Amino acid sequence: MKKKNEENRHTESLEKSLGALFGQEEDLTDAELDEELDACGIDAIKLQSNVHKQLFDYANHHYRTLDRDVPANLEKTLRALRPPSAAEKAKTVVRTAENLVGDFLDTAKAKSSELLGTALPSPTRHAQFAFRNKKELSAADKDLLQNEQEDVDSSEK
Amino acid sequence: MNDAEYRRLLRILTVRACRVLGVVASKGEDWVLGESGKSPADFAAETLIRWGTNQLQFSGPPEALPGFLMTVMTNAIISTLRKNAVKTIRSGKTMQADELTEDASPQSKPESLFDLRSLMRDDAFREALTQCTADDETLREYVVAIEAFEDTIPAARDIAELLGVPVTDIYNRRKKVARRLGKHGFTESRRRSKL
Repeated sequence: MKKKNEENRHTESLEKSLGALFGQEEDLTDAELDEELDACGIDAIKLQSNVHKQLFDYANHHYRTLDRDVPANLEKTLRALRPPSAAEKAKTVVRTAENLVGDFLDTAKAKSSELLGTALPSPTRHAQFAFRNKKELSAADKDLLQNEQEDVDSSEK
Repeated sequence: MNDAEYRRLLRILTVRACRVLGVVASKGEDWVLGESGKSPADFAAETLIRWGTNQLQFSGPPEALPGFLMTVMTNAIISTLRKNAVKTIRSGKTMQADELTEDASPQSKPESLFDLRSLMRDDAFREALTQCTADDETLREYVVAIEAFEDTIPAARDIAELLGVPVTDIYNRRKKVARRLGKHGFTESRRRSKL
C-alpha cells in the first residue's frame, strides 16, 4: 500500500513536470500530435495498425477462441483502430484523385481566364455617334465629319 | 466516444509514453539494447486493453477519460522502471533482466527525475535540453525561465509574465521543445557527457 502511494505520488509529480515543460498532450491538435510522434520516429498510421493488431490478438486469445464475448469497450476500440480495408483504401484514393482533378481544373480555369484577360486587347473607347435618322447635320456633326475626312486624307498622302 | 476520438486517444497516450520514456531514458545506462522490450506504443496498447476489458474503473465524464488513462499509463511505466530487473535504454524502451545479454548491474532509480527541480538539475537531461535548444534563442530563454522558478512548478502564464511575452508564445515554445527532445532521444547527450 505504501509502495502504491509512493508510486502515485511520483506519477503526480512527473505529470506536473511534464506539463510544465512540454504542456498538456490533450491540448495538442491532431496535426501536432502526429508531428510529435513523427519527431519520435513513430508513424501515426503504422502506430494505429500496430496497436490494432495487439488488441486484435488479445481479443482473439482471451475471448474469441474461448467463445466468450469481447467486452464492449474493447470491441469499440478495435473497430475505431481497424486499418482501412482494400476497398476503403481504393475509395479514398479515388476520392483524393477526384479532388486533385477538380482542383486542377479549377486552377486551369482560373488561370486561362486570367491569361485571356491579359492577352486580349483592351477595348479602345471611341465615341459613338448616332447619325441614323438625323435629318440635318448640326454644326458639331459637320465639324466632326470634316475632321475625320481630313484625317483620312492626310493618312492617304 | 466516436471512432475519431478513439484514434486521437491512442495518439495522446503514445505521445505521453514517448515523453515519459524520453525523460526517464536520460537516466539510462550507457549501453544500448536491441529492439525488444516495451515501446511507447506497447504501453499505450496495454492501457487500452486494461480499459477495454474493464480492468480499470472510470466513472468520470468522457472528456476526462484521456487524462485518466494517461495517469494510469504513467503509473504503469513508473512501476515497470522501479523493478530491479528492468533497465531503460536510450531509445526509450525497456527490457527484462533475463533478456539482457550485457551488464545487468542494478540501474540507478529514476526517482530524481520525478520532480521538475531535480529533473532540471540532472546533468544528462540538462545537456539534452541544451543541445536541443542551442540554435534557438527563444527556447533557451524558455528553459532558463523554467529554472528560475526554484520551488514551484510554473504555469505557462507565470513563464509568460517573466519573459514578457504572450501566453500563446509559451505554448508554442513548449511544443517545440517537446518535439526537439523527442527527435533528440537523449542518445547524443549521454555519449557526449561520457567524454
